[in-house]
Amino acid sequence: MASHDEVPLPDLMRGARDAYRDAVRRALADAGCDDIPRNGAFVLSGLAAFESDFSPQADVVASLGLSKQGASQLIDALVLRGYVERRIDPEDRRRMGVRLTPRGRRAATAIRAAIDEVEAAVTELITADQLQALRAGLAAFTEIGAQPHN
Amino acid sequence: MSTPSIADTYLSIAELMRIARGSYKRAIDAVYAARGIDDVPNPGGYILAYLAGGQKQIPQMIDGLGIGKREYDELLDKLILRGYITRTIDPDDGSASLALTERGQAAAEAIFEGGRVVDAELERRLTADEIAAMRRGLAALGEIKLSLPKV
Repeated sequence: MASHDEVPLPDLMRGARDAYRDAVRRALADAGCDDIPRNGAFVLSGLAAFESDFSPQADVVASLGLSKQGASQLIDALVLRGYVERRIDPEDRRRMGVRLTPRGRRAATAIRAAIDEVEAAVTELITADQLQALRAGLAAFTEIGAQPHN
Repeated sequence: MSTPSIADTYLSIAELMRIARGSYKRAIDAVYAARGIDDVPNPGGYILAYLAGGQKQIPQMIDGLGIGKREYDELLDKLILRGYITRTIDPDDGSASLALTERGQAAAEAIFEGGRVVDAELERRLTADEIAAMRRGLAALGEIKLSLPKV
């Protein structure tokens, strides 16, 4: 196997992301939630922060970084599969709100535990300085991705 | 050390990775657009780059893509139909080999160019030591992936 010094950064990033993906998939399967669509775990984690309140669907859609159509289809799938419930905002009937169902909360708990498990494991493998550099590097990637490329 | 501000906001590494993952894609898409390449299916760019880099072992390519065999086969079909790769069947043993077309080679070069743009920008923002430490962190996460049972 090649040393990580020789592996292109995109491949290193993909491998690193897959650590989370695999851990989350395993945790969801163990929790009986194995039908979550692609990017669905991110929605469930985000909604978990709002406890039992309904969040504006438009805010959730905007946070996903997907097309509006793609994000709406994703939320449709989560509603149909019993992870999310949707209702019209009683104070502004033009708006829709979404929140987790009990099944969605169970899935969100499993996702959080899996992420915590991976992050605990990585702190065993690298130093605090390397962890800080990892965070700084990812933040730099984020900023590079946000700037226009022409 | 110039640490970007978002690093000081507490986000889990998983959240940072999700936000960061589009950096290469956006840069590559910009090069694609400049060169008139507009129909590389996702994540077909990885296959083009693997082939351009001499990778021939299909099982390793599938594992690296994080998709199932069926999705991989469909992806190859799209790349062939859109003129990026060819598939040749060996008449003796029936094995298939893949090769880049001229169009596929051009797309692969665009991918590498997009990667160089991001890497150069990263080197402008971070020190060599910081990049080395980040690479170690990413590799550690990759090691964790390998230690997890497959689902």
